[in-house]
Amino acid sequence: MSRLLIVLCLVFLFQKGTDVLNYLKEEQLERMCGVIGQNSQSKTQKRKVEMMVLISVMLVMDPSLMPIWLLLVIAIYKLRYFQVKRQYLRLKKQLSFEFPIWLRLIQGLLPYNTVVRSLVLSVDFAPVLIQEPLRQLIVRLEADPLQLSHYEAFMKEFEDTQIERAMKHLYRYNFAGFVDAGRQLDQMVKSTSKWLRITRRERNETAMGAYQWLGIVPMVSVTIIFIVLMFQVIVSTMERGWLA
Amino acid sequence: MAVVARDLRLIVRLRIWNRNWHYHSFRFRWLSLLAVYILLVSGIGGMGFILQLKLRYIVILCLCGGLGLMIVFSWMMVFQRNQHVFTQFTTLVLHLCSHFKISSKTVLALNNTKSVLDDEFQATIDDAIAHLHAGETYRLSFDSFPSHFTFYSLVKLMEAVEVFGNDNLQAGLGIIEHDVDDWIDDTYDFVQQLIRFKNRVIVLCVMGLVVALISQRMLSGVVDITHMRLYQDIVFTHLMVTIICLIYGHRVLRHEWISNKECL
Repeated sequence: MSRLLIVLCLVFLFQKGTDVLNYLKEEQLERMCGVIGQNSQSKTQKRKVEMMVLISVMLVMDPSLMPIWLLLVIAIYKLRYFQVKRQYLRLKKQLSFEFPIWLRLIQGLLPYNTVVRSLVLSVDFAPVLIQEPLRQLIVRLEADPLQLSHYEAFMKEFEDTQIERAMKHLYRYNFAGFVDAGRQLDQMVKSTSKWLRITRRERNETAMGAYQWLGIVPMVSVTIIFIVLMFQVIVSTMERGWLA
Repeated sequence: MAVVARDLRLIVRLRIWNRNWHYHSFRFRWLSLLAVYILLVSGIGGMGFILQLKLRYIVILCLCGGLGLMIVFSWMMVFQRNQHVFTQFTTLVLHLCSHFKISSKTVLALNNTKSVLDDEFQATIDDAIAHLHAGETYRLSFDSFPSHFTFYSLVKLMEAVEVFGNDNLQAGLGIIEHDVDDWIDDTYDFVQQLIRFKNRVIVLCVMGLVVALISQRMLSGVVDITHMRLYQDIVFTHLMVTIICLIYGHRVLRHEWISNKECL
């Protein structure tokens, strides 16, 4: 009976497993895997096989606990998503520090160069995370410097509105040329100043957060000492007798 | 090892232990900081006697406090050194901006800036000038300076002005000066926050000691617990935790002033 159950489960999983997994799969996973440079497909396939084997074995062991096993399997599946998401968020945070710094360099170069030339000159100074997308952008812009979609596509996978805004600023600066250049640059500089300060303060707050736990340690320690001593007094009093 | 030796040289040469500074209403006096630490550790030792701890426990606490004193002292020196390097570096960038605004010549501006800096930075500037004279690139010439983005923006700007002329120079330098001012304000604000946090930890440690004393007095009125092994151990542990918190609270002093995240 149990063997039949295993066979039936395996047949079901092989036929419908992909649908179930597609239903469970987070839409963002592929995009995030692309950003952090991991191949999601191979790992997902491996995970599918692991899940099928796991469910089959567990069903044989104890079919009555099926809901718990299923929850466990889903949790295992989700673990991958959370791992990827954590790495993605870390990169995104890094980018939020690095992008305005790089943008500031560009702004320093813009009065003396075209947008494309400024981008080329900034490659050596650009943070590592930005370098590769920047090279791709330069190649595309050198072919067609007035194409808005090239600017919009720059680091689009991070879905950062600040980056999109900054790239549109650069596009407008490039498009407007010297007619409106001064005002465009001023606007961009002000916006980046604000951005830089916000990211710096956020980073400082994060750094402060790393020490915050220290504040509760003396209080926790004294609470423990009080409880233990109280307990000790009660025990001693009981040993002596209440009326003693 | 070389870095440690260089830092020690800097600390001794500049007599960093004598340097106190103000920023708006905030005052930093390292001697007061050290005095507060010594007072607190002595207080904890005294508390050991009041709480009737065994002598060996009190000796251990004092030894840990003494060890902590060395650690805290070294962190204070790191703090002073960081502050000194930060001040020197921001002065360098701002003065370089001013002198470059007047002359539009990199080497001349560097030479004029030297007079306001210490020997260490003067030697670095000499090194950069030698590289420039040797025909090295700007990137390579200024490689030995902290690679903060404001400085590299300035280097790029100077390079562009030398090549293309000084049109738009004022605007470019204005951006850099503005960035450096913001950076200085944000950094000192952050340092103030760190020091305030350290002070909060000290207050909490003192409160913990007071509550422990009150608890002991209150419970000793019912039963004499001071001779019990458990009492001795737990009070010793609490005092030790307090000393560790005090030491660790001073760790904020070793926080970097020129953040690596802002360096290129």
